Amino acid sequence: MTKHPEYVELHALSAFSFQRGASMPGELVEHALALGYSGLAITDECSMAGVVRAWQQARELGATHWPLLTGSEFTLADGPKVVLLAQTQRGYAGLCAAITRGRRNATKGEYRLDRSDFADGTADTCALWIPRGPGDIEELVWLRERYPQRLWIAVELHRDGNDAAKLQRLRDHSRRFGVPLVAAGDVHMHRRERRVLQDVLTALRHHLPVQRCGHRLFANGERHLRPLDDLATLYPPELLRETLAVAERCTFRLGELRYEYPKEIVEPGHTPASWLRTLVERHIPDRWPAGCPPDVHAIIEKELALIAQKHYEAFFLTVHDIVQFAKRRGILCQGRGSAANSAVCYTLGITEVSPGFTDLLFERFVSIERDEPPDIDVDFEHERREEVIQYVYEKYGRERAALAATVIRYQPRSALRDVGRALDIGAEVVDRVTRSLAWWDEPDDLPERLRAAGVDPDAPQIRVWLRLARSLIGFPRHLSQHVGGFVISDAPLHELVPVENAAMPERTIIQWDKDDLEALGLLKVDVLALGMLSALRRSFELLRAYDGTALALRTIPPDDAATYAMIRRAETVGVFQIESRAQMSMLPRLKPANLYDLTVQVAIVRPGPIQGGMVHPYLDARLSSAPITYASEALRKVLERTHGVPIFQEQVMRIAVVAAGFTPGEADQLRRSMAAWKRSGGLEKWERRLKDGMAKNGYTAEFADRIYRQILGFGSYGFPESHAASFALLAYASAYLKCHYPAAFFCALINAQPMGFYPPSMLVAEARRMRVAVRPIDVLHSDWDCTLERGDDGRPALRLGLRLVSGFTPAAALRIAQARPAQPPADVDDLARRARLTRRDLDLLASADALAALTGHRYAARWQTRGLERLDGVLGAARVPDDAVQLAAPSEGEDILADYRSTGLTLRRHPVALLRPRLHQARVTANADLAGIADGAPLRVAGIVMFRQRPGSANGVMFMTLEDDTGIVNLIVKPPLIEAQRAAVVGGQFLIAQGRLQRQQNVTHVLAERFFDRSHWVGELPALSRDFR
Amino acid sequence: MLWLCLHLPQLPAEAQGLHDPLDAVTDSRGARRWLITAGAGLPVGLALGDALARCPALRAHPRKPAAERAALRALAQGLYRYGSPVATEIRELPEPGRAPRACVWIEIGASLRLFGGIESLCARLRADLAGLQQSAQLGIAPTRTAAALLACAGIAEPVLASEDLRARLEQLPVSLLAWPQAQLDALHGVGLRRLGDLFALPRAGFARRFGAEALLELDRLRGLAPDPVRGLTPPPQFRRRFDLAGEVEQLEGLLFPLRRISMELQAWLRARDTGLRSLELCCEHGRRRRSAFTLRFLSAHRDGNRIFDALRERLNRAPLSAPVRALLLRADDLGPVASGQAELFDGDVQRQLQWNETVERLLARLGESALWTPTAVEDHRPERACARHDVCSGRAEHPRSRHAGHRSAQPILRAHPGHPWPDGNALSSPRPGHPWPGARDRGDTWSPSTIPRPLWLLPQPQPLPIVPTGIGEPERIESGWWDGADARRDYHTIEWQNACAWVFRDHASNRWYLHGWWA
Repeated sequence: MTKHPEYVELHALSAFSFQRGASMPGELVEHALALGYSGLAITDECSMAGVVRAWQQARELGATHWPLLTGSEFTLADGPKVVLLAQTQRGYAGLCAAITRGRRNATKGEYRLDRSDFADGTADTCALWIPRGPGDIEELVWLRERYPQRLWIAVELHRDGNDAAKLQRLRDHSRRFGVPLVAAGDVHMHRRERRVLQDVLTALRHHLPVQRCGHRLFANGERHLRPLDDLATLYPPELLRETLAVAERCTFRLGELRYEYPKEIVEPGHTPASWLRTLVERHIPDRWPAGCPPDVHAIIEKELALIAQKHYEAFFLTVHDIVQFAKRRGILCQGRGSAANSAVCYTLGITEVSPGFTDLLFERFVSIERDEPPDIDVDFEHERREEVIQYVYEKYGRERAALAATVIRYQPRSALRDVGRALDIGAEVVDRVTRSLAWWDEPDDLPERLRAAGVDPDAPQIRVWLRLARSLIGFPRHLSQHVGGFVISDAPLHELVPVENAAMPERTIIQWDKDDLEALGLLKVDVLALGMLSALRRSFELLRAYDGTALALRTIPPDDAATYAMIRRAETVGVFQIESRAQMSMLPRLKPANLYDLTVQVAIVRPGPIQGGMVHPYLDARLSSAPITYASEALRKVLERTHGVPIFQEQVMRIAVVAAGFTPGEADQLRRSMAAWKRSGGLEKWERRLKDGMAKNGYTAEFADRIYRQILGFGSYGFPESHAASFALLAYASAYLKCHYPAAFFCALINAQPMGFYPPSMLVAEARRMRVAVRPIDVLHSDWDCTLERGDDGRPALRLGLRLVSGFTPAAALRIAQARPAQPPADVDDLARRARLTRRDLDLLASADALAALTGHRYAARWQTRGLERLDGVLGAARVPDDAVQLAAPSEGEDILADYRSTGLTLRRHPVALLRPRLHQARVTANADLAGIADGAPLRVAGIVMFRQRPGSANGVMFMTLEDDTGIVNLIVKPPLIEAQRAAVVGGQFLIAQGRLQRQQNVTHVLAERFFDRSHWVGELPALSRDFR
Repeated sequence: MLWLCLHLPQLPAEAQGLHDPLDAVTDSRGARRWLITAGAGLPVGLALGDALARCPALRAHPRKPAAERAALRALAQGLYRYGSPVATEIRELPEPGRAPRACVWIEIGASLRLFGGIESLCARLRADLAGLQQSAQLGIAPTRTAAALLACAGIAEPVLASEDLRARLEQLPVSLLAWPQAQLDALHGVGLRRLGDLFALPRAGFARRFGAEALLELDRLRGLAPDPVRGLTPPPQFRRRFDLAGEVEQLEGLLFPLRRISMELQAWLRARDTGLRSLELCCEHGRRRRSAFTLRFLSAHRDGNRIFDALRERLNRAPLSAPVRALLLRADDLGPVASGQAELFDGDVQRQLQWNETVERLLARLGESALWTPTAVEDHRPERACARHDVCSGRAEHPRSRHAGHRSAQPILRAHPGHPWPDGNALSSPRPGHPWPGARDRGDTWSPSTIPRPLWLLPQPQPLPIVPTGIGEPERIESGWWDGADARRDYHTIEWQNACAWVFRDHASNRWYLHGWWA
């Protein structure tokens, strides 16, 4: 038995060398360990995007001291190809700087480096020269000058028939130039079996089908982590031994990275701790003018002590600084997350969720106990978030602030597309299959879908396609920018992690995503965008301008009875978070009466709790008067406020701690596994642990099983209470505005579009239902935005703005508004001249019927605008004579259609009203009349399809909303019907549905049994439906 | 003047030989694709995605404009006997959701009496169209544009007198006009729905808003402005290419296009008042291969059925060698219907055809499969790195043997039967040196072209009766999973039978094979 040689793989690419590496970094580490390698270097091409995952995997496998080297492969534009390995942190920083330079020099996804970038050699790095064939000696000489005593010639043997000659040639080079040889593998995958996938990736890289890639493919699958005895037969022993010598020189480990928070947020003369305390004390009187209650003060003290213990002061100070900036600029913002709802954050004005309310929250600082960076997301107005982002860049400089990356992974659809491309499966077939994969299809249904699409899932080529696509799902595809996670550091960021260009101009991202940052303990501040904040700020401004009503987020009266009554009636179109169909159907049952009820409402109507089967137990428990029994006193404390049913993520973790004896750290890992199990499984190890722990603490197996199933159902959708509370506050604020100031509220909501759930047409309909006078778009009165006008009854009326005119521009709207005050335009010609409108502008206005005041009906307006010969204002007052024509006025139906086509809504009759006679004939019940029909009665309803939703939690059932002239009806469509009438269900715009009425706790649905597609009745209405997942 | 217009709404499908309602032809603009032929209850103009959602079994085929033009020309050639001039046009309406308008016009005013009146002319024409299995809508009017409009509207009732024209046109919807969509939208936008609405407008006001061109077209429509037309002249030879929708393996699948071409040829011969002595039919197969034969008739004639029967007989006798993708029929050998002497080929194409002629003679003497040239193909699998290339297919272009020959160092090898030879042209060949142009190729280093291959490669690896021992490092090849012939082998060179043998061990079976001999 020969002893295995020792070997460190010094050249390995992971899947983060996009379209090259065919194994995840974790797979490489795990396999290298299993094979008994003495170390491994992850050397992705001009990238550090995969190293953190590798490092984490090694840590998780207990290989904390196993040499996991950090390096990168580069091919310089003018040669050579080289692998650089970090010897020290300085070397690592140099590598990151080089990668940053290369990436920022090129368009997104590419890099460009040449010899001038390495003129001095990167300090503290080892270099491996990768020979590329005859004539490359000059490269070696160039490298030798720059990397003296730290350069090796990499000998990479792959049984391609040339090994002996290659080895001989490199030996000659080594002798001649005095550069030692070292063995390396040019690893592209962890196992040989990934060869097929690697070929596919190569084909994608070359934009060629794989059968035409020829020699662009590797000749064999040798570029995997090969067993040590296999390497021993290939390489001379001294070359294998040399890998250890290289590895010894590279002492840098990723865990050594030290991260410093920016210092300028601390006032001179203060420490971060003393400055945070000063700020908190300074703001206490704002919040509690009458003095801070002692219990709150105690909480603040406790929190400050925790913050000091964890050295998180700078993080709170940074968030505070950003929030202060937003407030100075009048940008509405609100924090959320476990740390955001702390007393400290409330005092600093980061959140409006008061400690009085959050007292109820059992675990505010839960995350800090778990040794995890604090979680504060700050939502800003979606239209003004860019100002905040630019502020951060300005304050800290682009060197020190960058957005985190998001790893875009292959989804079923993109995997099918790309593999299909590589296998040269006809675009039409790929198209057919991916298109027939509606957004709700699960990957497991794939074969069935294929058959339905006329593709035989058992054909060999299709099987290969499916198999490869499946193995590609989850692979990283490219880096994109995180929605708003900023990393800010004291030293230049590129010494810590490479920075590259994002797709958006003027944006840079680091190569790590939020999981990487978390793993390394780097703090990230989430600067997020929220449309409702824009709408709220606009509402406040409209009210102030209209009659001086001064309202702000913090001055909205709490617990307003009328507001809650409206919520309980499910009149929540436009209200933040509780406006969806599912939410609305739950409101009359949950009957929220206070902010905490709203917090539950926000969290419970989500796929997680619905799948976990929490909703009905919660409803039952809430409605019943019987006392709830708890398995233990500890559990009572955790679950009492939610009537014994776990609803929030925090509660699940807490149960694991109090019932199953988890440590907070373990509970946190459980949470992470929960988030990932749908994707990668791996929750089984927790099942044993959880059930054993609960058995030990005297809980029944049946109870343990129920809890476990609830956790499974929670999956990645579990909603934390700390976020729900912040959202509930906004839900309440928007409901309050809607209830008491509907004109201003809807005006602001439409102006903040696109956002939320409903299109402007439904918002306008809801406003009119609430007796708001809505006035049409009119060039004599409309601005770009919708505005409030004084109504005849003294109440504000809503004037629709030119922003609703499809294709119109704000600049033209502004010119119109500026041209008006002097003297209203006499006719279209006058208007066009004074507002410098183009022919296109005028056509758009005519189509929107906005010229009616000047021209009469729409046809006349269009005739006039088309007839204007000169529209640049050059010709002055000379008018070209024009023949007078008499055009017939459009019919009502034509006007309605034209309204929809131009503005997406109409103030005339609802289009369905015109169809009423035909609907009567078809014995269709108007939606307004459903209330008078008994549960279970057969009936027909009809309407324009407004929404289709097929939540993953509903076993394939689709919910569909039909709107007629009297209101809406919600349909339940079961899968067999969907399949039977797919064309009508998926594509119909105007449907008559035959079915049965269902009424439960005042919520009315119609269970559809058959559809009649009458889309042609509404002719050319633009598609109105918004399909949601 | 009296114009008869044939509008051919299904031409894009018919030109590809598609007759099943589930076969739809699509046009595309950027990423948008939509149907331009109707079928399976799906209307023209429907977006492909919507069509597939409504009818998942639908097979979409991209348009083949060249085939449409060829089919239209062939049809027009057969229509000379009904009158002249004959004109054709495929009017492209490129906005998404609109279909091209393929029309043929014949001026029948002069020939009406010859046919005994409009009814009998139409009846003969319809019978001809039925024989061609050609679907068409007829329109007859004193102006060309009006005839087309009636044809597109599907109004077969003719307008014979100019006085009636305006009244008949006034009722037609403006959407029939083959104008840009923006123009139609503009008309619609001011409430103008029928042609009569347009005629009623003041001319200056109309031209100012919709352009003088539009006004001119309206005038032509009503015969108020001249409408010059360039008639087709019958071509001196008959050439007809017919692209099939897919690969046709059975003769039955070819009968329809063959009959159609035969009837077209008959119509053309009649229009030219000449007869056919021989024709050549060429079948195009996959991988750019072709097969062709010449049919000679004992006497010159112009009987479509006779042509069709002869073609069918010939194909029955010698079955198809491979699935057929397209048919190409040439009839250059013409003569008066009474027999006479003529040269085999027209003189002016003689030089060009010399090569063909030589090859044809060789082929006739040696058989079709005996003649081919080798080409280098990029594939790691040695048996695929050299491909056979049919001479027949090289004939259409320049003889390929010249440039293919010098690149390849391999000798001409005989193929074993049934081997699927890839086409050399479909694969871009390797260039010497690195990197490959236009591709990000930092990963690959050694070019496999530097690795020697034996000069004598067996057509098929033979099992090796011995198990080699004492061998060194292999050359490992693992490639080809995509076409079901994944090779996983270790190649070695051994001394065997007093020669250098190239052998490999197959990973899957662990058996040894002989694959070639070194010189």
